[in-house]
Amino acid sequence: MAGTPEPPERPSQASEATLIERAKGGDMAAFEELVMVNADRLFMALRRFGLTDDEAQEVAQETFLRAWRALGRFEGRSQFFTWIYRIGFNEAQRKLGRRRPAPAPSGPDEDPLDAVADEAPGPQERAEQRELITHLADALAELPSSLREPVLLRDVEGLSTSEAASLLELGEAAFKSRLHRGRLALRELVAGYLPPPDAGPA
Amino acid sequence: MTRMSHGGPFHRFRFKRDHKWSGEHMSEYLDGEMPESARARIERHLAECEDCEGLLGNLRGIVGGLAALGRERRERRQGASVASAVAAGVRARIEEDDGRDA
Ligand SMILES: [Zn+2]
Repeated sequence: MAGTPEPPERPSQASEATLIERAKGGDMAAFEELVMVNADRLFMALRRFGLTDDEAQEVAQETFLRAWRALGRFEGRSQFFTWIYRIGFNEAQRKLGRRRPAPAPSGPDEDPLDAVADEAPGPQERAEQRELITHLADALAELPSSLREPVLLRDVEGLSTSEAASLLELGEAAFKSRLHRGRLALRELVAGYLPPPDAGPA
Repeated sequence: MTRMSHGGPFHRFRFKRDHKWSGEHMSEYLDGEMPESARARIERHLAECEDCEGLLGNLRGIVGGLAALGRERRERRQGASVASAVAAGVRARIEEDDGRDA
């Protein structure tokens, strides 16, 4: 539970370009790697369009199949994911069209990516939150497990105090004390990345 | 930097005592897991202590960040299994097509 290994981050542009070149040459394994790297992101985007889990998975599969067949036409002028995303967007429209009246088509200036890629907070806030999250993940790894586990269960996994305490076989008072000490230790470790006191809604 | 309103000896004593106590219980306050009397005590102190106000803000930022980390990890976990399923499906379809072409 504490040490769930995280899947690797998406590969660098260079290795993605290499994979694309190999896939264009008919290398199925290279293409499969591209699928592995991009499928979850496409899936999430398709879910946000209003597809169900099953539909999103089906459409993602269809999208990559089309991409495989059209790979020779991918010129690398846009990012690979952007290209995939456009194919997926069209596939999703077809799927939704069969289900209900199509949503108002977006004009040429309205990039469907904009609607999905950036959610509520501004880019600046997102970048800061991103940085805080990265440092919190590193800082968590530095905590002794007696403090890390309460924080992981309650704050990261979102269990209630009583659920988390009983999982760790601790009384609630002892659990709360460790949770607090764990948060205080994190505060020391990520001090430079916390939002200033008057940031955010009052 | 702490701000104290009136400087009487009893007030200073109470401030110090509440300051220590508040620092130890700020997570419980933030989590809303405190009996009413304790809440009132911490809120009275928060109104006159910038350090504790800062601590509360920091803890709020940390707890928010940890929740976001959790959402990210769950999405990635789900994504990893979705990706495997999609990749397997795509491979099967491509092999099917190749078989037909051959
Ligand atoms: Zn204080």
